[in-house]
Amino acid sequence: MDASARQLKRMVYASLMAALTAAGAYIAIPIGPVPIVLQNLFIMLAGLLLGGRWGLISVAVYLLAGAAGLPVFAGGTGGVGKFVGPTGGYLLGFAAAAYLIGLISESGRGRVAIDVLAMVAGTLIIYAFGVSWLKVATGMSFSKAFAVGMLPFLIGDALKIAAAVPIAKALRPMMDGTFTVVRTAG
Amino acid sequence: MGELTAIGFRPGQSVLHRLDPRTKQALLMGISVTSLWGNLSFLALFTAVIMLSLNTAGMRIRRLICETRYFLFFLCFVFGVRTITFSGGWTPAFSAEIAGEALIVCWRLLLVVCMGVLLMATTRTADIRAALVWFLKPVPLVNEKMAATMVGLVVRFLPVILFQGAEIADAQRSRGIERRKNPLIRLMKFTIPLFRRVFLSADELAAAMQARCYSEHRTLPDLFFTWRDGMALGAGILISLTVLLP
Amino acid sequence: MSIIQTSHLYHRFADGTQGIDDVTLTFNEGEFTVIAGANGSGKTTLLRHLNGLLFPESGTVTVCGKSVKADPLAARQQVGMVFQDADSQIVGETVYDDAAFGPENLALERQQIRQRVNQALAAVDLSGFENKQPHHLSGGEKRRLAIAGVLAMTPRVLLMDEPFSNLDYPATCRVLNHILDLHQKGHTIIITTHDLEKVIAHAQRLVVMARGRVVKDGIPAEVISDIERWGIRPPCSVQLGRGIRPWVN
Repeated sequence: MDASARQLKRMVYASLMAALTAAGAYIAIPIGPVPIVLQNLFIMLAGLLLGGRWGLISVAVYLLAGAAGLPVFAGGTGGVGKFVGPTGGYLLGFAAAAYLIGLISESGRGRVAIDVLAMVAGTLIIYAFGVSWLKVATGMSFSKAFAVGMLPFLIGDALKIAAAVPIAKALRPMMDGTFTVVRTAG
Repeated sequence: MGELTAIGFRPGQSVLHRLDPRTKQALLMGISVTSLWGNLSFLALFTAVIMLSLNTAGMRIRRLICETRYFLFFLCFVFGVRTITFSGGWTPAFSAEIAGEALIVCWRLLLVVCMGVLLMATTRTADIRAALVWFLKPVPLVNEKMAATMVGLVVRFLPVILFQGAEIADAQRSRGIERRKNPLIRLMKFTIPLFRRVFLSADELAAAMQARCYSEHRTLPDLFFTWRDGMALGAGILISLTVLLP
Repeated sequence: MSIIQTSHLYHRFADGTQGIDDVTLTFNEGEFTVIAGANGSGKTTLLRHLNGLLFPESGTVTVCGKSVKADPLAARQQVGMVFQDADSQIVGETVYDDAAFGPENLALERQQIRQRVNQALAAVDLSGFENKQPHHLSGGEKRRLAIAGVLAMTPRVLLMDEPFSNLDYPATCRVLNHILDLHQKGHTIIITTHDLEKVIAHAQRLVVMARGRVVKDGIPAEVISDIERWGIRPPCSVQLGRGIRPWVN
């Protein structure tokens, strides 16, 4: 495979990861009474599977598509307004988190402890951006912004971090190309 | 799940349809940001302009409400949280002044969302992408042609992925996944097959793009900036200036 | 006149299995060839060598007299390929954008792109679908769009990998009629399939592959008699002893 073909392949992977991230906002798995939305799990996987640089690119492409007014954000709203809106901080946090998670986990070369550490750091980054912007955009007090914009989601986040470890383990061989799929359909 | 959102492009001949997508995006961006400082007079004028544009674009109020319903719930929630305070005891306190402030915040957010809806309803995705390439050109470190191709792929594959996700969920439900109460298992059993399927098709997609001579030296879409766009930008600046009014 | 030539192609996959094994074939301009073989016989792998998506371990492929390895882009423009799974082939967000993808890659002028796209969509009866999203098309329409996307690059040869898989009866007839039409207009057509029923009556040549090798090559009426040996079901009309009959009239 020559350089341009490899570049194209990475680009397609990152684009599909961005589409998965967009889909994650729409997909919820009902567990007990609360549905778990998959988007931030997919953000973590973007970092774990694609690494820092391409993880960031994939989330950036997702945000860019949304910012430009394409219908990729949840709830049928898109455009720059979403960034200025109350949940805009989380979106920027996603990009930072994917980069950070990718960067840290790359240095760990698949060690579980490092991956978990990376995801905890990534989750904190998302809330750092998200909660502070929520406070600014709605004028709530910090404690209120925390109570509304972070506390209810922490249990779900812990679950997602726990799930992301085996998921990344199962999918990594496929992404590295050590596991090339031989397609001999005909 | 085929239909993500009803806010799709609807062909038409209104002024908004005929504006250059770059103009529309610049207006959306500029006014979104200035609206953060907007007060009553700004919001009133802005509302009037939005209503007028919705009307000329042939957008029904009912459709608008239907399409932004989740956001409207969210706004009500924000309004509630902002207005009701528990100062001291367990009895909720309510003051008209705080409620007024919260109302302005919500109003502002609603208008920005309406602008986004207008942009989406009157602009073809190809044009949105074309404008994106133009805006990204001066940004360093960003390959704007690659970004445009990637954004196009996201739009193309989002509905496909949602469809595949629904299919996987249905297949697992029909085999009784709901009896598994462990959330970790549920997350894994759904995510791994979905990602596998998507990334397997990635290899084929890359080959298909190569087969059609994919290269970065591609034809760029063309855009036309006309007198109409000049007028629209002028109007946008005037509206933004009313931020300075009380 | 020959348009594609392969000589002594060998290809081995990363996991060590032999994909194709000493394949030497010549395809003539305007010929309608069917390459038949059971699953895993190397049809798709061979097809991917013809436009430089895969390169052989040894052996050569030439398109219009020029080596594919030396200039894969030129080969891909001459030799259009329609993949088996239309869904992972369609790149554009709308029908128009998808058909325009190829010509845009060739960096043509906008005017010329518009003309080519309109022609390609008209050739497969998709005029008027320009603003539709590919996701909303039926299976047959997607397949036709995949063909249009290739036609917009004005190739001389069309490679099609299982063009009738997953199509219902009317959609199959339509796709088949478009293929016959393209052949009439002078395109060289190469189709791979494990299901001869639908297409064999119109082919001028039948190549049978098994385990990566070409085991039979000739005019369909002669090759088809003992084709069951290679894991391919002969068409019903042949089984009933009535020779090869067209699937559509």
